[in-house]
Amino acid sequence: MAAYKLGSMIDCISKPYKRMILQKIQVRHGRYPATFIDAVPKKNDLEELQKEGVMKELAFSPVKAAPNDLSSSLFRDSVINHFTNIVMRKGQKKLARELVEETFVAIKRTQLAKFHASSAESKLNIELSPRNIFHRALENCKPIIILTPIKRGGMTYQVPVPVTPKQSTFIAMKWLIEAGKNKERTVHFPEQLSKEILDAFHNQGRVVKQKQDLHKQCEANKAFAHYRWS
Amino acid sequence: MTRLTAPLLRKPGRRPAIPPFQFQEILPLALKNRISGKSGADNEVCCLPEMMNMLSCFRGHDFDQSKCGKEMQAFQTCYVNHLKNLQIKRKKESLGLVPGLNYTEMSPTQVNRLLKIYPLLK
Repeated sequence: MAAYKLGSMIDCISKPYKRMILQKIQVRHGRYPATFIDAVPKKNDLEELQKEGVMKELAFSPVKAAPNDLSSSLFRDSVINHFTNIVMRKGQKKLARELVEETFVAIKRTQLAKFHASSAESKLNIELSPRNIFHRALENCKPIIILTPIKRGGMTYQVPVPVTPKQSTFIAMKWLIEAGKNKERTVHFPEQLSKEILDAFHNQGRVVKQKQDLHKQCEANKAFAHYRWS
Repeated sequence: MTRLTAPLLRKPGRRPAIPPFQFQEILPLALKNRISGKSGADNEVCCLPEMMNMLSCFRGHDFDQSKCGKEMQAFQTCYVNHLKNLQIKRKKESLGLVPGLNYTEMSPTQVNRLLKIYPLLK
């Protein structure tokens, strides 16, 4: 709403100044009316929509312009894209993408080395796909409950509150990246991150410990749980 | 000579009675045409029993999540459902005054709007 007002304010300003202001101000919200629908890039999703019978309604509704990271590729993974965006600093997307790719390569190398070193029977149990490893590691890092400061009667209490799936995903990603950055100067970030992800995949390591510590603190503070407002 | 003995020896009598307390009607003794809506079922903390259940399970199993799958599932579904219900409720309330609503289903805003249109008789 605020941005909308800003837009109408800018419309009143003369052209050269308007261009100058628009270069400075970033307006980060969709200007689409409610009738516009999100683009559906994947064939499978379209087929599902057709099965549900929603397609007839959607067929004639206007579609929003697709975000630049959307694609119908089989290798596109929205979770990994999100992770890349969190790795990114100062808008250096290319660097962030390279770092994540290097991490996945390092994971693949470690798992392949393990695969070739192990016996024929245990080879079946070794997960080789870095994507699957990443997703499982992320699952293991997600906190189910967190602490939040709530002020009651002049005191600030750390109150355990539930988290939404989106929030817990973000926390897990942040923890993984922080663990990857906590390293010796000579070790590269992808190398450390790959180690942390593999540790988390095996349900061990720093990040899983961090999650358990948080749960322990929540358990210790459960007496304050009723201070939460729903 | 003035006579002092008699007045000095006299027992003190009753003080004059306090006049009866007069009730003053500072605010009119009638219901207002508006409610505050501060209290109600909304103030209850959601999913508290599920949370306690899960935390005690964590404690019992040395914070190993894999053994508390049932409790975690119950807690998460409870919270997600709560959020969903909240969203539905907000959507309903955003529609404004809808005919055919029971007063128990109405939000304070809706009740206030109704009272504004149809104020209480005085």
